[in-house]
Amino acid sequence: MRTLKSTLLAAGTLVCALLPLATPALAETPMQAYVNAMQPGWNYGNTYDAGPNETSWGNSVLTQAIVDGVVAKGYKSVRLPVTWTSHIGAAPDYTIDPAWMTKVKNAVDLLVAADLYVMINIHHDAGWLYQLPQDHDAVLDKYQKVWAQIADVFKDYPDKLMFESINEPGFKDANDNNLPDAEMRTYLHEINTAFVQLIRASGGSNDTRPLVLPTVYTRGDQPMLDSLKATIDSLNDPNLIATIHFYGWWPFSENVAGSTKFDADSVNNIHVTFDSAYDTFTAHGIPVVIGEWGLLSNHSEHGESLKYHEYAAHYMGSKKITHMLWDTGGMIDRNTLQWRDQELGAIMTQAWTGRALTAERDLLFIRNDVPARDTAFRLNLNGNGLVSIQDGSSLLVPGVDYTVSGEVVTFKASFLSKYATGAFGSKTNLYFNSTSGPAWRVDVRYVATPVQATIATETGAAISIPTAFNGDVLATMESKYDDGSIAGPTNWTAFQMWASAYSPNYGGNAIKLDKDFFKGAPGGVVNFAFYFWSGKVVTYQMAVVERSSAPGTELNIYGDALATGWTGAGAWGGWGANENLAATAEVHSGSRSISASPVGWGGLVLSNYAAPSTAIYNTLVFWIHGGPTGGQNIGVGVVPNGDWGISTNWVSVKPVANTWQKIEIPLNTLGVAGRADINHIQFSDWSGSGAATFYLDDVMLTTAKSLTAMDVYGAPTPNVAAPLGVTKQGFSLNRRTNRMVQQVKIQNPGATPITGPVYLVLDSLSANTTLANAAGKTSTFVPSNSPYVLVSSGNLAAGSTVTVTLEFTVPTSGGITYDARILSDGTTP
Amino acid sequence: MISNLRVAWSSGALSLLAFFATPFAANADATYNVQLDTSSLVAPGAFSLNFQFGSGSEFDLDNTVTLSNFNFGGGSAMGTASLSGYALGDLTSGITLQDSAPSATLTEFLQDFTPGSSLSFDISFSENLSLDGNSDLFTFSILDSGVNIWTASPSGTDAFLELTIGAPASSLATFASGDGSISAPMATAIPEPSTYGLCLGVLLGAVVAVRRLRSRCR
Repeated sequence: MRTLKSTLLAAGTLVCALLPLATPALAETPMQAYVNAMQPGWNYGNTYDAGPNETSWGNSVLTQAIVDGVVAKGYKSVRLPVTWTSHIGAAPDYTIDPAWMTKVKNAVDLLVAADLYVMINIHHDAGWLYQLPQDHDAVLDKYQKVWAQIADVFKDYPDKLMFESINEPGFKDANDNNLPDAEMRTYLHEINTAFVQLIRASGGSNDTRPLVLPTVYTRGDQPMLDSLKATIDSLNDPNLIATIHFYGWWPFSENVAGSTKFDADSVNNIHVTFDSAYDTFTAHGIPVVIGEWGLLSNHSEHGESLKYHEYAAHYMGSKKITHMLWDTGGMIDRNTLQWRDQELGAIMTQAWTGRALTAERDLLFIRNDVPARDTAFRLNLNGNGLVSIQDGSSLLVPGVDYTVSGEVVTFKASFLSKYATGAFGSKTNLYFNSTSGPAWRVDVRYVATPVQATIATETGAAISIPTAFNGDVLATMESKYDDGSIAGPTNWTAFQMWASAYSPNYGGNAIKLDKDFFKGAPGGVVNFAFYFWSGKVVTYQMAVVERSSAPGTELNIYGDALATGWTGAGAWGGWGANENLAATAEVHSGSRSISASPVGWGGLVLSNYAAPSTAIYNTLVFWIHGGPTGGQNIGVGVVPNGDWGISTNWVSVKPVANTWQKIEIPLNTLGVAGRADINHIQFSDWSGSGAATFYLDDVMLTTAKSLTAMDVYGAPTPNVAAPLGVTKQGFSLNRRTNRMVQQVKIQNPGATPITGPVYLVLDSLSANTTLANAAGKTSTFVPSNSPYVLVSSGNLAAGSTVTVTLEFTVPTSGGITYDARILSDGTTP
Repeated sequence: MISNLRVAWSSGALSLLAFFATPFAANADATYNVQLDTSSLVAPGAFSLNFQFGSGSEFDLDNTVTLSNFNFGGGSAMGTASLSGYALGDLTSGITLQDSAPSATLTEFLQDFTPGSSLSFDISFSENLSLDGNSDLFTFSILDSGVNIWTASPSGTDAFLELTIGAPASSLATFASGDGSISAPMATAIPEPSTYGLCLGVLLGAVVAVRRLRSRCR
């Protein structure tokens, strides 16, 4: 983990605990009181905003039971996002389908009857609304006529129903790119103004109905807030509410750039966002609703996610900002009506009225290579008291199993050692019971250093690195070429994004690199560092080798006709493809080709029931022609053993109009490398609406490896310092220099010199200190940001020993730990 | 087995380093007497004895250092000692320092004192030697107004005495103050009782042999 970030975490957490969160006195407006009463709020997401219908994304219609369940959870307001696109008739009236309006009305009725505050809007209607700059008058007309119909239906509803003008509005240019911010703000001002004027003139209670106005993309940066503030000021309407959305510090929300912890960056992001919103709106009598909030992904460690949700909810409340949790069914189970994550539900609920006890982490590791030690564990009491600690259902005994000093609990080695046995992994859960709110749970894990194994594969498909996790938990991954440049799909940080670049498979004992990890990338030596929550960093090295052209043995499938044994119109062939196996309109070689024009989702299947052995082949090769149209979305896949249930990969191919194009797809990419029983090759329409005629010719399997892929040879990083011995002397505190000092001996016991310069690198340096006499930090070789010192500018002679003195800042708590690494042979750290 | 070699270091040299290392069997105990000329420490001054014991790595084996038989040569201890980490005891009953793993806090014993003409004490320590070569470090420093008096130690500890407990052998080194005003301490190994017995046996054997030799020469 990055030392600086970890240090800031502790500081940030302390600051959070001490922050008074005072807000200046302000005469509360009626609309502020209204928004206060909405606290807390919840979204019934991915339902009425789904397309084309409310059940299209797998959720059910809103029911009385769901409403009751939400009310029982303590929610006071519900945002009901609604997408109208599929239910709007043609110009000039843009009539909303009455059946759809009835469905929306029924849902609103359920919520209103439950005495909830309800917000409806225009949600995923970006397809036409974002084109306002391209077709201004027509889009504005459509927007106004849609809202006029909604307003009319609900004009007599109580004022607990509010309208939100538009969800996350943005505006596009002719190339479907966002306009500059300033231009988007101008268009949004126009939309919001038109919305308010239209609703106010629509009759019934709409003349005073609370209306919710967003910023551009509901962003919370100051220019966006200022722009909306100006709009609201210009409207001079007391019943307006400002809204933004909040999904946390983006690197943390997505687990990218090594942002694995709810650290000072995340805390600062919360402060800046909500302080700005408060100062811009609330302090001037304009209430603020966070219409959506949460995390973008579920890829942070569970405890870090809990801390984020606890603190963000608390801080928003302290700023009189009402928050509405974004929930697509992943938060509250819409069948059981229970929190899917009970701990998350409990800690957010606590944060609505106070603070919850948390801790520096929710994992406690007992390592197999270290004698059991007394282990300190820092709590964040957040104004609460520690009542007791449970090991499972058993209460631990203070003084015997642990001691407490302030917020630091020290577990006795005698207690922890009983879990240092047996299989690696989770051994027990400790519960820190609080005077208020839920207990904080800590997973106690017995671990050894993770071990990885060699691989030989190719790019184009997911790359699986065999990994014995040995009970440890992956936090993040860093990847660089050996020249220090970034490797992987994220090009601005070497700490790649969880899930989109890599992901652990604990059950499968592997870490998977995404299939596109090396897409478009050059070959070279790539160094990986896998960071684990125990503090261990495991390095791995891949040689990624670009291929040169080489002839191969081919299995012909179609030349001028299907090869013997192959069919294209049999039981499997010709399934909705309107195929012609002897087409002449477009031919790549010879005199005939295959033409196909599949119906929606239909496909052409080439089959061979004689099942020739395909084990030796590496690549599927064919030529494709897009006909006069081109651009068809054709899914290409293969089926082994005639079993369509076997999981394989499919590749999208888009033929070019009036052009023959050679396509090479590694069988590895298709997920069938080495299979001897490939007997179906399918070309399907993936647009769902059918494909214009395209042509295939010269279809074959070949042993030649596709030049579109690269060979990959991976192995744990070799220890370049293998012949060297590194021994550490004990630490001592020099009170004159106020430095912790330690001598380290580097010995070359071998018979040959080690080529210099030689560096000593301190990986995984504990976050409580810094190396004061570091010559620099690693930037070329992963792990990055590790401090290093120069051992020898020249060679390290055979049999020689060099002693270096390390000077550390005095630890903020605990002792100093690190893993020593030697770099030599002229490498630049 | 321990060394019974008595070693004294010359005083006054700016960067005089005296070093000896004696291999011991694992788990053996060893004891040294340490003597330091403190006459150049001018009273009344705020001086403190500082004893520290720390691990080099979290993998090594634990050891214990015991300090006893303090004599301030006309001076005296002042006030109450300050203990941290795995430090126990006092000057009268003896001090025990256990090397803490780096995951624990620093083990340290601080005691203010009024210097006399000399200072002496005994150090005993266990020798659980870690096979990985990492070692524990015991240091003895004197603080002047709360900071270490500079010494010629090359390891950056500013200690007058450094005891390294680690494979393949433990070692002890002493240093003079950086300005030469305080000589390096004298550290003298104190034999175990069994060693005295061995020496006595050797001596008696020699006497018998000499007598027999003399009787033959008659």
